[in-house]
Amino acid sequence: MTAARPMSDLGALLERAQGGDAQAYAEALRAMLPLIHAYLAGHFPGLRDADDVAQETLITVHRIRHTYDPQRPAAPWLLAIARHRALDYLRRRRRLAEREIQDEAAISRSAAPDGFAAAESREAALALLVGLPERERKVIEAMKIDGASVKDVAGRLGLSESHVKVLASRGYAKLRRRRRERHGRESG
Amino acid sequence: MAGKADSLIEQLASEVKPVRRLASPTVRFLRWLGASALYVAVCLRVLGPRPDLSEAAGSPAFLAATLLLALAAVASAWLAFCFSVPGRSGERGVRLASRLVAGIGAVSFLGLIVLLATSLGPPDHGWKCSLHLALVALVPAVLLGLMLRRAAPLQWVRTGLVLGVASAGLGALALQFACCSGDAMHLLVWHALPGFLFVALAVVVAGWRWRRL
Repeated sequence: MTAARPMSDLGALLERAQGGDAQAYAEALRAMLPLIHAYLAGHFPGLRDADDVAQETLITVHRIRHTYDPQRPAAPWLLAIARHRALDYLRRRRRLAEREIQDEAAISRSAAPDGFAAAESREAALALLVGLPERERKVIEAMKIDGASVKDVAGRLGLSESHVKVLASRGYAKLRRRRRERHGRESG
Repeated sequence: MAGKADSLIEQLASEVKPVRRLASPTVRFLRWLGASALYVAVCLRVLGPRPDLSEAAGSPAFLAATLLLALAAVASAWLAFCFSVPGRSGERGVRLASRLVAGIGAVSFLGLIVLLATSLGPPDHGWKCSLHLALVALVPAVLLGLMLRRAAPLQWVRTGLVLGVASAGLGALALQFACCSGDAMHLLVWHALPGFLFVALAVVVAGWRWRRL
């Protein structure tokens, strides 16, 4: 991290960067990072991924650097971009969280609830999973038997949340197919 | 994480090229105003002045409405240019102009309520007025949108709103000189309503074009 640089310096560096000076630009971007972090910490204290937001802010700064007016202070310009990126990030997080809740509900509905609910013990429930590929088995075991959330399972197994959902869906589909075949044999 | 930020900075710095600096919002606003005023003048020439213009021009209601529409259009357009540059919306002049536009909006809304309360009967067939309003407003709106696109309208709702008010305001201003109907229901249905729809459409288009900035 670079020591905080006076705002007038940052404005001058940005002006040189607008002229194509790569060294001044790198210096300006380095000087921006602590300012962005301080702003995010002060205005968005609950923001978990401040590093990501700071980097997105730098990318936006890069894209719209021509809008900076050297006659004006750099801070309001930079912090308005940081604010926009933070709000955008929070909106995306909220949408993602809503979708995850819907996905989890869909996964729960698509499971074989009667199979797991009917199992009298953990061992009986585990027996339903025999024959599934290892990762699908571990995911379903954690979610349906241990009651873990998609996020917890992802953390536990070192997978992304979307990968966990895919594995769970595939496993449930196999369990449903297996149960249909068993019912078919019994009734036939 | 610091390593990631460092490599990002190096990458961005390696890509840097000279850029053409954006002119100030006021300069860009004046360019827009010049082009739009010319277009509105041509439109008025094509539409022709209302037959009772000299008589109406002496009426305080006409003068007040014309002044308010012109102020709203001009202030909104200037605000649109200011909103399209990050960090400008907190400035004193921008805050004052925002209050002015909001005040004119409130006065217009009250005026519409009064019109609604005093109007009786169905509106006449004045769809041509709506068409004229849309045609006059469309070109300044597109021009403004294109000019704002070169900046960074991060606050797309506000920017879309003032873009709509600026261009619909010019359309309504042109109707002041072209339409001689004083019927309240006519003004409400064929002048005000399409103006509001135009503003709403501007916000929708702004969201579509600038939401992902």
